[in-house]
Amino acid sequence: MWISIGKLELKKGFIYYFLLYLFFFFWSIFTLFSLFLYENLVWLNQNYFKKVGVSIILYPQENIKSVEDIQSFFKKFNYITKLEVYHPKKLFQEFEKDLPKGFLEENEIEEIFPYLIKVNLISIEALTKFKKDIEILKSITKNKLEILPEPNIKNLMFLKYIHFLLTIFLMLWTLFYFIFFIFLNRGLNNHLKTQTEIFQLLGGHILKLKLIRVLIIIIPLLFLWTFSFIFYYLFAQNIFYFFPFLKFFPDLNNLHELLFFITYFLFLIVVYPIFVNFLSCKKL
Amino acid sequence: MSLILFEGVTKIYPPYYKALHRINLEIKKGEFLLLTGPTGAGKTTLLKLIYAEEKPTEGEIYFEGVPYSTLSYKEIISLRQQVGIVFQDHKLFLDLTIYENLEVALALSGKRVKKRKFYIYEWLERFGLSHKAKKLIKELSGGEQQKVGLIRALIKDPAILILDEPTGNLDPFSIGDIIELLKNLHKEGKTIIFSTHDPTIISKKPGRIIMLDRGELVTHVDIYW
Repeated sequence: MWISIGKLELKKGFIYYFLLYLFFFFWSIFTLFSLFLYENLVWLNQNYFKKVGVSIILYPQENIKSVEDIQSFFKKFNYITKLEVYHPKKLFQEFEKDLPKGFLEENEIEEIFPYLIKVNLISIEALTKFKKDIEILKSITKNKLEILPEPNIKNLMFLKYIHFLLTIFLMLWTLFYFIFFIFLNRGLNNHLKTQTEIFQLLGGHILKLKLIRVLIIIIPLLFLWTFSFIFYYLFAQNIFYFFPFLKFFPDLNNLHELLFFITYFLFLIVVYPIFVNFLSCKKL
Repeated sequence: MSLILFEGVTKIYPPYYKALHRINLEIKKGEFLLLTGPTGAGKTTLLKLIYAEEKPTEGEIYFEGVPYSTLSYKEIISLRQQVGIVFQDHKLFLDLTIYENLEVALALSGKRVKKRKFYIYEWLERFGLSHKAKKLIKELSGGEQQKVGLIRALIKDPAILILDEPTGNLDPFSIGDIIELLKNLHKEGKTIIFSTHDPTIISKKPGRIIMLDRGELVTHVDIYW
């Protein structure tokens, strides 16, 4: 009976099942790449934002002690992870080779060249706070302080923006899958309405029929998911060849990532189809 | 004790088509009931109410004293497993073979796998269809489909047989054979509810005849052969 009914299901509902398989295969590939992109953006965010580097140039107008004061002032900020101060002489050494010999006297170096203070901030959000604090500092001292523009910060901001958009996209993309699945399931139910009715009139429990339908859906989905994952894996290997700093998703050593991946897999391929299918049981 | 009892049953199809009106009917165990009446009289609706494809709008139906309204889905399925039904429109799986159609029916009635093949070929032989066992239903003629529908109902060896115009596409010889077969089954103690408007069958008076007209029970004719 199981084989006969299964055969009938596939014969009658072929278009619907085929559409579902085809849709799922491409959806799965695209989802895996989106997750890969998402995870890498998160990873880049986490790793680069912690190293937001800001350079400040300082022209001391008072005495050398003011530099030490500023240094200790910066040390009080908990959002600063690293602080380095470069003396004007050290800066001069870097540019010395490009300058004519004897261009500056020893005592002139400190007048022309500033102090360079390099700080690493905890996050991009801390930059705004840091700028405010610099303004306060400027107002209470006579020293000239200037933050050098950091071009990569803008890029990181853009990265963060993309990360947010991708989160929205992934949510909509999953919603699209949910809706498409419900739509196909409804179509299938309508298309196979007569045989569902006959089955029940002959004394068959609807759950038996739904079980067959679920198996017809889940087993191929498992295969298609595996194929899509292999495709994704091979393609990702090529990406790593060009961008070796990227990380693979899912990272088997990361428990959270692995749990997310298993949940995503089980929910979309097993739990959700069963849920939708059994929820649409029409008893006669 | 009555097997099936209708108490003031009315069936209205939306929006307001009254198919049956206050039907009171008792069907006893082991009875041969012939249900007749013109087209649209409500015969099929009455049968659908018996195997719970439809629910009454008013009134109550009892099966062995238990009201249908209290039956769970599982109990309704169990009731259908005890009943062999021949549908007016056959209700066969058109994309399956004769063998597969019968196999599904046997499986649903709980017949053991090993015995299924034997039963199927035995019944197909009886109706002269054994050579077409592997043919798809949609490749069969209307008469052959009707025979398969009949075999599907009989093969389960049910206690109750419900037949809705089962002879519409059959030749007179086949009709005679089927009536004889049903009479024998009735003698074995099966309850048979037979709906027809074929005068040849009615004239054979195989059991109690009741007539429906425009949804109302018109006559009870208690004639036994």
